[in-house]
Amino acid sequence: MSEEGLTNDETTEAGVEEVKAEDIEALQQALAEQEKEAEKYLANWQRAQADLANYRKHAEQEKQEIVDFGNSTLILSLLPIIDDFERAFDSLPSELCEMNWIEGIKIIYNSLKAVLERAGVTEIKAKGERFDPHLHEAVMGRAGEEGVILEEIQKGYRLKDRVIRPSLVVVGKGKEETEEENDGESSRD
Amino acid sequence: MAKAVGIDLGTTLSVVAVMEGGEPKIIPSAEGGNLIPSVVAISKTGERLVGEIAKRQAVVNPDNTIFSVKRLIGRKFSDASVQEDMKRLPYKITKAPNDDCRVVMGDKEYSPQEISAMILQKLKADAEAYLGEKVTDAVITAPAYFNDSQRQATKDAGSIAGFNVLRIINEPTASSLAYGMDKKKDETIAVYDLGGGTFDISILDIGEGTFQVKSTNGDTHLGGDDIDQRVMDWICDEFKKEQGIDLSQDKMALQRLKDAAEKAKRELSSVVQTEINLPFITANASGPKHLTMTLSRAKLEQLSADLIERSLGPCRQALADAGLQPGQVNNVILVGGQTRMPKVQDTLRQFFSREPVKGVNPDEAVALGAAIQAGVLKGEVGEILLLDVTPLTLGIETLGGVATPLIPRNTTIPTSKSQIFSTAADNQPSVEIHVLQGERPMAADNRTLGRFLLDGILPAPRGMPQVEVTFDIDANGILNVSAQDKGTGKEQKITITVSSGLSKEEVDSMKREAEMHAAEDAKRKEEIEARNAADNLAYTAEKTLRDHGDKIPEELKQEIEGKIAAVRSALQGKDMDAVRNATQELSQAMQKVGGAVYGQPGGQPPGGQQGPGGQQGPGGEEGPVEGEFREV
Repeated sequence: MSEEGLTNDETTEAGVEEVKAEDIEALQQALAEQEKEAEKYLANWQRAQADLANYRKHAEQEKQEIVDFGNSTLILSLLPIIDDFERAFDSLPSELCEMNWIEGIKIIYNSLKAVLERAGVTEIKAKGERFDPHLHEAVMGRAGEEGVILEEIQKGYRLKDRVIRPSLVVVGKGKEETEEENDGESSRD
Repeated sequence: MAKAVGIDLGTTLSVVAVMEGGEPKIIPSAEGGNLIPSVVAISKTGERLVGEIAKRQAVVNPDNTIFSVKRLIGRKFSDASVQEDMKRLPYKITKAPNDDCRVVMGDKEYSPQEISAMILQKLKADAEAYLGEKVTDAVITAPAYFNDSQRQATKDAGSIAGFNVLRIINEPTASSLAYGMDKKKDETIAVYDLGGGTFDISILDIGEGTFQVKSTNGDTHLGGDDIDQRVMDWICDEFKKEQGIDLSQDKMALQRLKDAAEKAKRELSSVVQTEINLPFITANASGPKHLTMTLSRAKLEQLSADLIERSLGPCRQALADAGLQPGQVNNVILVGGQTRMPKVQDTLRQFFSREPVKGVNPDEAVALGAAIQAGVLKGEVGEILLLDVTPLTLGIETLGGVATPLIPRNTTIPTSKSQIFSTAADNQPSVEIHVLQGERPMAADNRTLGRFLLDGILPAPRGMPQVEVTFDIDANGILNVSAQDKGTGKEQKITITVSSGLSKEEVDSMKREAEMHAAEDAKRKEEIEARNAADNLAYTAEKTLRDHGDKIPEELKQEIEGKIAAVRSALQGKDMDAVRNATQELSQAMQKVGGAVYGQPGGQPPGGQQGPGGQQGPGGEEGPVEGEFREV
């Protein structure tokens, strides 16, 4: 009896082991799959977190940008009015110069400029300076000292440390008085 | 993981974009703009300049300033189009031993790939500065008509710039991606791309996320710049008629005219008439001359009609090549700044007999689409979880039947939010958490999701116990509401499946109702708030008299008692003005108490944070009195 029982036991045990081995294999496979899934989720989670962190950084930067330069559109649209004032004064007939009324208009112009200055707007130096494309935009070249700004056509401005409108300038092209002259000289003088 | 960028390497302008938070975003250049001129130069001092800076010095350094290099890339020197372009381009183009093109800049020969690489390097540097990390992977776009050699050359340019080019994709494909066309099935779309200097039309077939270019056509010298020129010419002609002065010979005036013409054109996309004002434009013997004109949209359309009409020829040809009729196109998408012009859109609407698709910034569509493609290739886009939002506001009922929101509608889920509330009566033993959904300010008008009781609150004056209510919605829209008595730590909770309750129609109708009743709701809420404030003040006053009665002069005490009674009786009635007046009077009387009790200015009547201000406590998130539970 005991022997029989023993053999019986053995067979069942072997059977159990067989089942177990299969189970383990399936379980291991399932585990591997799950681990892969988990890895993927972790990676995506990290990516989402990183995305959020970066997004925050940019949102901060952009906020700062808006604080610093948010009014640059408005300022840019006011600059042409400053230009027009200056053109008007430049061509002021001498007989009007003494008029008190003109003086008043000049005060208005100065007030407008003062408002812009307080907002951080400064003029870019041009005439007589060396041409620098970071600050100036060349609209034509003319005979004259090479690389030097001969004339300023429109003033350039900075807002804080950023160039919001480069100066439009005429740049010297050297002394050669040849055919290259034709693109500015005739119309200017 | 490092980000991959998408690059629109254009003939005149280039743009770079990146996926951020699942959406493509344009990366601004170091100079602040979004569009970078595709211009490279070597200055007289030997400095290499790219973009805006290079463009600014082009006039005085034409031999060493390279633009439109895209017209040369991957083409043979003997190519007819190269020979044609050579006549227009001011810099020197030479022939390489293998018949490729070379451009000369600063006494050195460069391949078009190298020049393009300089532009790409600039974009790379800008992207790295913006993202704060190294960028190596990129998707670069190329016109649909580019052949293998041109594509390979573009790819080489990317490699020279230090990019790992994930893929070269077609510009119209990128635009379609930016417009979300990849979600459509079995459609034919036309991509109409009218930029500053070039025009392209492409017919694409979309199926199961794949794009196939059926045909492409265009005009390499047609664009918005031509329209600007027409406007300038018109201004010159008009001025000559009026003043007899020819501005076209005055370079300084022309510069101002050019800016004004472009500005006027742009404005006429949104208004029907615009003023062109150029004071002191010039002068003659009789004095300064001003230019003031009105340009109408109709006039602009008349000036540019033939140019816009000219774009239809290539459209017809492209359709014919694809074997289609205009009506067989399912979608027409607009790319390029000039497509903002209403006349362009009208012309296309007529030609294709359908409304063109708008909505994506036409200057940026190509780069945005390239960024999406880059995201897909990096496995970013496909893996992005679809996040839902709560369609309606979730909150609880507080004193006076007010619905106090905790999670506002359109909040992306999963999310959670906690807020601390308190009791509304002395020794209140329990609070009822009445969970609400809806936009109306009064609890009764909203939908009840559930309610539960948190009891065992220790006897305390009203406003003292702190009950933290937490709303937590998981990704499946399941809402867990818990309430915890911070004093005893006792907690109760409820789980509600929010999404099961309402259909889309119900949600919409609830939102509509909320809008319809906004005014009357606001009035009712205001009433309740006034009542609550009155009740609060009366309570505080009573408590003050009880606690500090001995320090208050009898006369003042009686005055206050009278005013408390007045407030209480006003609260019985319905006259809101009476309630407000009585509150006001009591509040004024109470201000004398502070001085009497503390004998110093700034003294506050005791009774916690419940000043006469009432319901809205002064505190931030930790302030315990943002709202109160109603009495149970």
